[in-house]
Amino acid sequence: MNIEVKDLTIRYGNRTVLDHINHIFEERKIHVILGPNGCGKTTLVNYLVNNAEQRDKLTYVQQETVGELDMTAGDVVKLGRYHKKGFYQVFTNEDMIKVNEAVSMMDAEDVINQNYDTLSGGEKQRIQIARAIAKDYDWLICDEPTANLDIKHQVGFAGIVKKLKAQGKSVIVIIHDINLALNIADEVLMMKEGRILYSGKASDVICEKNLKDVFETDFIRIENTDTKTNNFIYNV
Amino acid sequence: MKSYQNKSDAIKITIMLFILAAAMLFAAEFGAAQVKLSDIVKVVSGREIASNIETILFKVRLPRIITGVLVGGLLSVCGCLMQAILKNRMADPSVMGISGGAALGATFVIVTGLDYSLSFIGFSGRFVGAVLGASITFVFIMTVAFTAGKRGQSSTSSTLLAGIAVSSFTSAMITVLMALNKEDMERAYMWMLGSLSSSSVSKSLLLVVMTIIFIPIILFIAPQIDILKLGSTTASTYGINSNRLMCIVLTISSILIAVCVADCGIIGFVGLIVPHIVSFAGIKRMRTKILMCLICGGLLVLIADTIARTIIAPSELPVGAITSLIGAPYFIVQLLKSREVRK
Repeated sequence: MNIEVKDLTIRYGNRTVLDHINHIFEERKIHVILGPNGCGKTTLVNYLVNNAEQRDKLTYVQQETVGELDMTAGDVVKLGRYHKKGFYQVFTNEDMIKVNEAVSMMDAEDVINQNYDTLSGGEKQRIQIARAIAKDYDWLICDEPTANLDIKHQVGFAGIVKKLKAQGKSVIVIIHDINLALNIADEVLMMKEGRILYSGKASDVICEKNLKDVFETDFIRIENTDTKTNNFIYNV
Repeated sequence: MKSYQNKSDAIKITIMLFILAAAMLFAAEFGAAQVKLSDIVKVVSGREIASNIETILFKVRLPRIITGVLVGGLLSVCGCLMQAILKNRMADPSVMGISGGAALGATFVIVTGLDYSLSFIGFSGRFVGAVLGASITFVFIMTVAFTAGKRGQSSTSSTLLAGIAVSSFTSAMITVLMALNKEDMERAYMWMLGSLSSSSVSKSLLLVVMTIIFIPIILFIAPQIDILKLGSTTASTYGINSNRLMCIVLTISSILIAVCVADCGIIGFVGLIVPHIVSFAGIKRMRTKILMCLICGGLLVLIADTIARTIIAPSELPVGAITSLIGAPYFIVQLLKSREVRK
């Protein structure tokens, strides 16, 4: 089932954060949202999480580090199965399989027994992503999930997202890495000042002109002639 | 990875229950009048004992023991809930301002001489004043939190700040009232230091009823509180309405705090340290933590009260002073130990 946003406007006081947003997020696709700080990406994503019809089929990884959780990393991942539990919170073998699969996907076996609060920012983020994908869901929504990840795990995240799409899941992710967006996205939304300026196929939308419009920065396209793919670097 | 149902938690709870039961038996022995353990065993096994011993046990000791255990347990549970909901490790029952409101209500009743006029059904006027003071404070705090939430501000931090402001205000008002009524100052001050000496059958029954009603509710919603720690937006994907949950938790906590403070004044430090002690013992899940806080908080106050009423018998020390003297050093030792482990 698609997620549809119709004429969405959100204001905080005199400040318009989202301005007449209209978009349909099609299922079984990877949607990447790009844009400068303060353009409304997180507000849009939070709106989707709180208001989408299929909210119980969403799983979410938030941008900010949560406060102290005072539990092990493994217990945090297990929280992902909470919605399946009744009053007695009995965990079945199926639950443990899902949890272990999620931990394995995020390469987090080595930190699973440690106190979550003592982990690094990147380790916490991997645990939060594992927690999100341990849940039964159709839509994975992530707000800057790669912000604290090292190169290896950013590449790993790209692989995971593609794998989830192959499993029939749908993904909406906010990232700042334009080349990562080119690598994984079926659709890119480029936002600025509360509006969607450009949306469509990644290779069509991400170009020097659009990047300049959105980020007010010059970018240079570098073509890999072997793989016929483009990368963009900013021109300082 | 281990299953979510940690069997060692169940073992720890069982052991602590036995320790608490044993402590309650021994506490029944000690006091200004000595009661033999054999008499207690006779009572437990349904045999007859001397009428004066029966009076001491059932009219004085047992209500006091039950009150101490339940007040300590419920304050600890409230502290645990405050720390989780407000995401602040230093939160305790006083941070909401409810304790201050209750203390102000009781102090007002004492200094204005309304203690007798307001009493009913075995509850003193100061008890009624404390409940009214706590209720007014609660309504104010919830209004502030609700208003902040509607304006898009963090209701968590607004609640915390409002509670701190209210605590300061009530503390100042209490000081003013006592300064204007010096002849009643000692009575009001001794009440605020916390004491179980005014325990009665009706007060202990009220605490039992409160425990039976609210603890199951808290245990039911406890897993949602674990999820809420992940953030309100994440919690909504699990079907949890964070504002409603926060409202429920704060309401229940306020009721329990109001009754506890109205019963025996302010027994400080219990609500702050017991959740930390339970956490140091490796108990992290909210549901298990709440059960353990109920038991350990009850044990702490029971031990403190037994010391308070026996060490300078027939006079008594304030139980709040004893809980701080016992709890604070233990807390510091555990804090230092946990930092060593992290290094």
